[in-house]
Amino acid sequence: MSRARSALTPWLLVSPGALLFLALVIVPLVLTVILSFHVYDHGTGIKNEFTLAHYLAVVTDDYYLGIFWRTLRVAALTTLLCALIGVPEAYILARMRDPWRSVFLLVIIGPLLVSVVVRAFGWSMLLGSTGLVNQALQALGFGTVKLLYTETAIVIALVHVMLPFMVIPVWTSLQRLDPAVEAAAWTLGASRFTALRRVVMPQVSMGMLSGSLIVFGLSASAFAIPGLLGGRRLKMAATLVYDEFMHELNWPLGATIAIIVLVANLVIMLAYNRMVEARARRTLG
Amino acid sequence: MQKNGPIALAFHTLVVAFVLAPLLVICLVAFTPENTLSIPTTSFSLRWFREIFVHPDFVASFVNSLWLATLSATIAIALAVPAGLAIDRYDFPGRDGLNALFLSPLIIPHLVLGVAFLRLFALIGATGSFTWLVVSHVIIVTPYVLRLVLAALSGMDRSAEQAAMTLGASHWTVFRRVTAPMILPGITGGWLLAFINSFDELTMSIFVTSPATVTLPVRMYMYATESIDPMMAAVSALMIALTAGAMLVLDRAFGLDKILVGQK
Amino acid sequence: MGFLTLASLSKVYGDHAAVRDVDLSVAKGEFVSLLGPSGCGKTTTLQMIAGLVEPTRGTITLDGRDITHEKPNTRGLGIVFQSYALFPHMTVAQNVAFGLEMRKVARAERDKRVKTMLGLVHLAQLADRYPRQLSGGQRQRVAIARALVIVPPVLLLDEPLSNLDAKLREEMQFELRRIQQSVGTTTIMVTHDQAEALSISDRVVVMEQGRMTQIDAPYRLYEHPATAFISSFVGKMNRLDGVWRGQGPSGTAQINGVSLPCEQASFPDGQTVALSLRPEKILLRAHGQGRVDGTIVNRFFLGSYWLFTVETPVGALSVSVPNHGEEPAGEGDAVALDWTPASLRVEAITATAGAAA
Ligand SMILES: Nc1ncnc2c1ncn2[C@@H]1O[C@H](COP(=O)(O)OP(=O)(O)O)[C@@H](O)[C@H]1O
Ligand SMILES: [Mg+2]
Repeated sequence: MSRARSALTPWLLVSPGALLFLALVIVPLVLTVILSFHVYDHGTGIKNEFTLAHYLAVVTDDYYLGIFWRTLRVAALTTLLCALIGVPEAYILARMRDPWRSVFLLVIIGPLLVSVVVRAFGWSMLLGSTGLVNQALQALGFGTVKLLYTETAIVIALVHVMLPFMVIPVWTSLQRLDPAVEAAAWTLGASRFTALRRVVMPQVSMGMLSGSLIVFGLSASAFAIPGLLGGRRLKMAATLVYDEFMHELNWPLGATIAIIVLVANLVIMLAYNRMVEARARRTLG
Repeated sequence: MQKNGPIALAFHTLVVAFVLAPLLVICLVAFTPENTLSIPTTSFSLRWFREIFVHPDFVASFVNSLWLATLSATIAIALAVPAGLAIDRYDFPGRDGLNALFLSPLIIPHLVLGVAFLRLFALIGATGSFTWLVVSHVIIVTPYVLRLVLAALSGMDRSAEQAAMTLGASHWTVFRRVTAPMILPGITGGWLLAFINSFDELTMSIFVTSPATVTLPVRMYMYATESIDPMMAAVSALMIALTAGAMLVLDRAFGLDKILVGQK
Repeated sequence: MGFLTLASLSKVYGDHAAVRDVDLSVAKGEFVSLLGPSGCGKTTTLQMIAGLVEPTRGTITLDGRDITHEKPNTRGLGIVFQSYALFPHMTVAQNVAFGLEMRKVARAERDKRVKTMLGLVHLAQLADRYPRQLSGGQRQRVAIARALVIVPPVLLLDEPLSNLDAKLREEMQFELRRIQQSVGTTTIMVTHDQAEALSISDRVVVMEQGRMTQIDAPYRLYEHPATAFISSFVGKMNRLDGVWRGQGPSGTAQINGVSLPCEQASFPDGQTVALSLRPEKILLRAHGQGRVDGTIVNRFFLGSYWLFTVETPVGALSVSVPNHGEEPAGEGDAVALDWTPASLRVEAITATAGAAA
């Protein structure tokens, strides 16, 4: 009796959440996959017939390919910049003393909690044709530069939004690093640079990699930033999906693109897990 | 230990400036007396803050978002605490799979979730319903709560529970008197984090809100794509202030770095 | 002039002097321990020698060369960190080879030296393991091998044994001494464990609150501790407060009117004195046949010896008696205590002596 009860307990505890998540994660995703195969007619809307046409259209049409290419380019550039800024910054933070360390950690990762719309809006004010950046350029004798509604603006704002996602994992791996290890390398004759390259970097590389993946995945599916800083013409995958759903009303096509974004994301995560496992196997011998 | 050199400090200053620049600009522009987006130079004015209250839709969206965030964070706690207990304390078939299911909204882009919810809601005739909006937010904030609850459970000293048990407490009493108080920081932190994430959520919500249930970020996004005036800055400044307050509470109570580690 | 010389070396953090005016001269091939309680400045001293902490004042000279301001990566000293600081992403062999690599030693030569060194520390079998696959004692030997393979003029060890469990710690003490003697490297070891310092060093330096208060051979340190602090920190010690009765050398130390035979000493009449007597210097006798009578209140069996607490008219005294295989007197038994006068040390308690303790 008591045994039977205790075997049931975990199920009773998880079932409310589990049912909700099955109904609202698995079911909608399956419905979306199905939706992406539905035939769409501009006159009558979604039809109860199935086709691969949307997938074919997306991978052959230059318009869509262009947007995917831009999405990849922007996400890759954002990831690179986040790594170039975030890794050294995390290292600098790790070497600071309290209270500065906690204060600046808060400054760097705190904006994560500020709505993306707010941050995008801030950048649009800074980068606009009469924005602060252009005013500064003018004051310095350079002409004004068109920044807003360019890929540059999107990348700048994305780097701003994504930076914490790079700093956090690198910071975490630096926390795990015994500071004496770097000192040990020096005392064995390594220069500061060699110690960084040979001893510190290999140990933060996993943090950097996981940060890069998060940044890349989130950048590639970012919506608010390209929506507000890219304008109507400069679309990325997420804004394209939104337009297909809300303006073109071509839901099946929108669903197709969304599914492609999802699959790409999952493939990257899976590849990452593989890499982590391979590395774990290597270092554990 | 080792100190940062001048180059490192210069780099750090630039990064901090980069991080703070857009937020500072917003907070300054919000106080402009002008009609254009400009940084106030001579005088400060609260006119754009007052202007917000002339826009009932903004106020309505704010109230709407507040309710949405409160409800979804609370429901997320109600789901995540028992689920966390089951996952941490019991070994049962499908445990890892369920854990992955609960955490999956962290990996699935919000864009995809938005599309998927829109499709589901359209099929069951739930578009525009506030209840279903809450449900969709519960899905995206539960993982944050669950992660903190799991961390709190696995970090707590089990011997305290065992001690209570040997002193004659029942399972329920042990939970109520020992376990719950010990994981309370995790639960509170999870609630706040869930609240903030729900309150800020845009990408998924924009697919599933209707004119009657528009949340504040969605309202702001719509507004900003149409026109840009200092009132947006005033609203944004208010949101920054709100977030900063919540952030300080979170940091004081739990350490922000701990809560945000691995967050997406 | 020693091989390694510290001259009025000091380190001040803010308004806190972690190390004050340390003077030390270490001869070539010598094994010196820095002994002191936690926080007394041992690590800071060691790190100044290593070049990881910049001294506030003073100089460090190695083989006649002033290295005070030299960078750690050019000093060429071998350092074993308290946490070992092994490179977790490198194998044992790679860890040991790192210093040679930095010195651009050719591959073949490097492999040979790594192999020899791993043989010396008995780790040849584990060359391809990663640090996390090693036990504490093995890690510690990797750290020693890594520091020694570069043939450093001086080996610095920061509490190298403190992360090991008691049994292993004892084994590794002698292992450490064996390795040091076979290579002949001048060695400075930091420790807070007096037994460790006494058992393997040529000389022990005692540090108290940033200062060096005694530098002596282990045996002399134990027999002639310079301060009250040292006498209680190094080994066990019975300490009693008494008064000197009688004039000069003809007087005796008294407690509660009981005269206690002690070493040759001379104090003015009425001087308050501190008496110290090591537990192992006290002999247990039948009641009425010693210098003071007493009752055993506690008895502990510690394997190789018995430790008694004996309540006497002059106070409670610890007495240790070697274990001869028979059960000695038990709790409640009336006994007497005896000692040779020379083993009871007497010091005047003055205001300054009190402050130092
Ligand atoms: N970087 C530092 N900043 C300020 N005080 C320090 C620093 N390093 C050590 N100290 C202080 O100096 C004293 C000596 O420290 P340390 O040399 O580590 O002692 P030990 O190794 O003997 O335990 C301690 O009181 C410690 O708090
Ligand atoms: Mg120390």
